[in-house]
Amino acid sequence: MKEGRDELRNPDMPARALAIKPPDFPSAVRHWWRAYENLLFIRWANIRNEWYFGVIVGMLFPIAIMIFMKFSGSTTDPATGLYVASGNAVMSLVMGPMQSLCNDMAWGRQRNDLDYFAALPVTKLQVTLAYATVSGIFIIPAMLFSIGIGSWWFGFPVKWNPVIIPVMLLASLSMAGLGVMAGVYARGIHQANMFNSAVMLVVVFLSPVLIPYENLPGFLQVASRLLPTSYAAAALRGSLSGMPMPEILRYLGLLLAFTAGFLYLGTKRLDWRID
Amino acid sequence: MLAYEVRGLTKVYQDNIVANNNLSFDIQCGEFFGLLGPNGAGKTTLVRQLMGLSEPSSGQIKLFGELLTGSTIDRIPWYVSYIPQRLGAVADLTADEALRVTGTLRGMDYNRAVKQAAELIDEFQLGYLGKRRIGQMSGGEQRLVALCMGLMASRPIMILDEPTNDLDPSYRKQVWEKLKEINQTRNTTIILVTHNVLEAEKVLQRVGIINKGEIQAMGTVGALKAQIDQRVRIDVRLKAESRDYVSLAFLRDLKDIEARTLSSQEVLLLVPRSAIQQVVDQVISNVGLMYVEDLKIVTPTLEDVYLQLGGGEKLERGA
Repeated sequence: MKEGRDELRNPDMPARALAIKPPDFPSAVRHWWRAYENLLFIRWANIRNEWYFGVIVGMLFPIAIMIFMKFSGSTTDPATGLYVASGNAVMSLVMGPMQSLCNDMAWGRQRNDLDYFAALPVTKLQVTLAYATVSGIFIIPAMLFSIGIGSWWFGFPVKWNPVIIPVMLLASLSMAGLGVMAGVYARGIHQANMFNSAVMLVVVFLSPVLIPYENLPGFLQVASRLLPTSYAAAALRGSLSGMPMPEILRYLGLLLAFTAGFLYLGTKRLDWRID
Repeated sequence: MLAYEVRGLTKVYQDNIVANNNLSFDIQCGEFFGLLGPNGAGKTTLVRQLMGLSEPSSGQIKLFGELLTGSTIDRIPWYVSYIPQRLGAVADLTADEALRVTGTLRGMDYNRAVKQAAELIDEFQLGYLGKRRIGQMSGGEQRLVALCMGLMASRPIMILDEPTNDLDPSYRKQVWEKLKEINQTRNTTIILVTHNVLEAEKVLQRVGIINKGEIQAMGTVGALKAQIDQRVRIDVRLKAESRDYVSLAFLRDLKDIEARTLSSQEVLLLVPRSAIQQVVDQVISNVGLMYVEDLKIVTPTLEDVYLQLGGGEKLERGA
């Protein structure tokens, strides 16, 4: 192969090229935040034309569950009502972002849409958090609706505690990393949907989110300790019913550990590259 | 200094499909480098590997002298601008939003990103797209938006995958001129994959021809042209009504030329430069000017290089 390239050498280029460097602290923090804002904007743009549809659909499942619990006669007192309504709210908060991320990652990888992010100086954690944030924001109406309707219908009093804000935040992020992992391992959007359905079944029927902990068989009581939804439900119930703060903080700590662990695993497993 | 050093790069997909086989080459800083090859040749896999989007099975890539490994591939986007062929991630953004967001994600200040986005939209006359989302645009419009996104927050290296696909001729010309301009004025190293060989010839400084995952030829356009058949090609196309009156049998008697009949009305002649005048005269006198639909004298082009060295045998295809 002949390569007459001497005329192509450009002595000015290396200095200019190497002058570009990733920002150091503190501008790295500013860059991180600005990138996060822009990723939020991209995700918001995905749903801005039909966001109201998502909010309405998000409310349907909690309403259906409460109607079922009411008319089946299984919810007869305010305490059980609080259990059901808060369990419903947790279902929305935790499952919404997880399912959304699972589908988005599976779909994005299937169609090489993630190449856009991979070719930019952004981290997988930023993309994951931005996607989870937007999903979480649109789940809040469903969550509040579930508590409001439940309180009115089942007659339980609500004692709002400001700690509900970090509870909501951590609950919505607690399984985001698991959603990313599932999206990465799924061979496509269909497998991702199957995974979402399976997790939903476990959380609804085999964990103390809608079913009281005492009613579960022993092995499920043990298994439920491995699910962040159990602690999210306990923390949310606590922040609505006047539970002592140390106990709520203990649940928050466990939620934080699940959130960090799943996000670490999810972003570690998330390979932009699909071969 | 070298922008990229590629050594022994191999990529084997599942089912033992070899996309790249032991590729080794350098790309100089400030070069305008073109990667040519037929569909499935391994070009896109190669540029994805240069961007760190596809993990090599073996071999190594250095960017500005630094070996790209698991921990250093995150730095690639600070030095290299690449916009993938599919814009699914930003399909719900308008053109100006996509440009602004891409600029700020590359570290630009918001106001500077807005200004550059407006300048590019103005330069490429994309203002008419207004609030139309990228996903609703035509393929050509998406290409132009992708190119503009690639130009945001100028990087020392720009990688483009089929930048002129789906574009009409006037936009293609504008894109080539823009790329040439940024290569010359900003010294941006440009690496592009294209099938548009004839147009690319005008701007590319060096070319790599890849086929079946292997580099078939690499060098400056002039050096590659020198490697192929230096005879001039004369394409003759006769009018349809000539069928009953004209015979091309006389071509067999011409010395030192190679004639290939492509159809009853088309013939291709390979002629030494010294015999061009004589052959053209012979054709016109034997056929009659009234029956000649078209007669073209073509010197070797990059397309010939591509087809003879990498993409197959052009003459037999009669392209």
